[in-house]
Amino acid sequence: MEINRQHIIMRNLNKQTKLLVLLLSMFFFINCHNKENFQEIALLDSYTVHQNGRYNLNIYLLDKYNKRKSLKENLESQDSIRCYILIVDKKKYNHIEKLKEKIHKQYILCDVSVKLVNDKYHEFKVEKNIIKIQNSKFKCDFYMVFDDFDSFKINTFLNDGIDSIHLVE
Amino acid sequence: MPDSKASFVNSFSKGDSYFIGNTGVINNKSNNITKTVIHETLHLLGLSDRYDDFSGDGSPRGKVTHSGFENDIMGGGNDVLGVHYENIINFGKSLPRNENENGFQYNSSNSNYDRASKTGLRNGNKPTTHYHEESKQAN
Repeated sequence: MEINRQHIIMRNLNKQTKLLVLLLSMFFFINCHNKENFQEIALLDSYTVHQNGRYNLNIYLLDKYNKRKSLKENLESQDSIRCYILIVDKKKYNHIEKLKEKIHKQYILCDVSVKLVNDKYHEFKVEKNIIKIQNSKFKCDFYMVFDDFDSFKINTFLNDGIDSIHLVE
Repeated sequence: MPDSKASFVNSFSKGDSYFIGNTGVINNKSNNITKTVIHETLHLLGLSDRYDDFSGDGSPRGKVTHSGFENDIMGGGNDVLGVHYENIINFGKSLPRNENENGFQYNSSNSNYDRASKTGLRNGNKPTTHYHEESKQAN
């Protein structure tokens, strides 16, 4: 009788251990998405920098973007925004400028892929600010990447955009 | 860094505001390293270039010096024109700095103190213009 009880306890313990391992694995994989290389929907802002003669690109990443919803609805559902500041070449700058002209917007909505060289993206200098887009305020972290990235690619231009982003503080 | 590449300070925008960054690159193969270091350091004190660079890669080709700044260290020469002192003072005045988890942070767009720094404005401020009065009106 005692042996049977111990057997049942051991079996339950074994189940609990398996469950624990499963939960830990799920937690590990969920948190291990690659933050250095990402493909996301973002608002792009290209501009010339007369200070140094280069072309900058600000990538305002819209996390958890739902393509079934409008841009306005997606913006309303954002908690915060990450912005990566890169230096791009003239060819990429011209391409983005043409897309801007096409829809007459300053910031264009695109599906983008970015590969950062620095393997710990959070080590880029970050400045925390608040920005305003279409009457909504967001916390925005600006990552000063500049030249330290490997590649940037526009996968799809989503034919939408916004007119302005205002720096609040 | 290739010999032809110019030294520079990283600058950037945050939405509709423009900033001179506090990082950059000095090319030690520069023809006049002393002038280059002084020029880039003056950027860190808030001064803007007084030339437009149409090269797209920071190389010397395609640079057009703003009128009145041909002999100025931020344009095409070695002198420091009087207008810069005003800009440095404006820079100091417009520096409400916040301390957060990243340390001290510049919060003031350089367009607040230096009209020439704003992207798209290509003529710079000539020393003879009524820069100060116009700044006040703008504020």
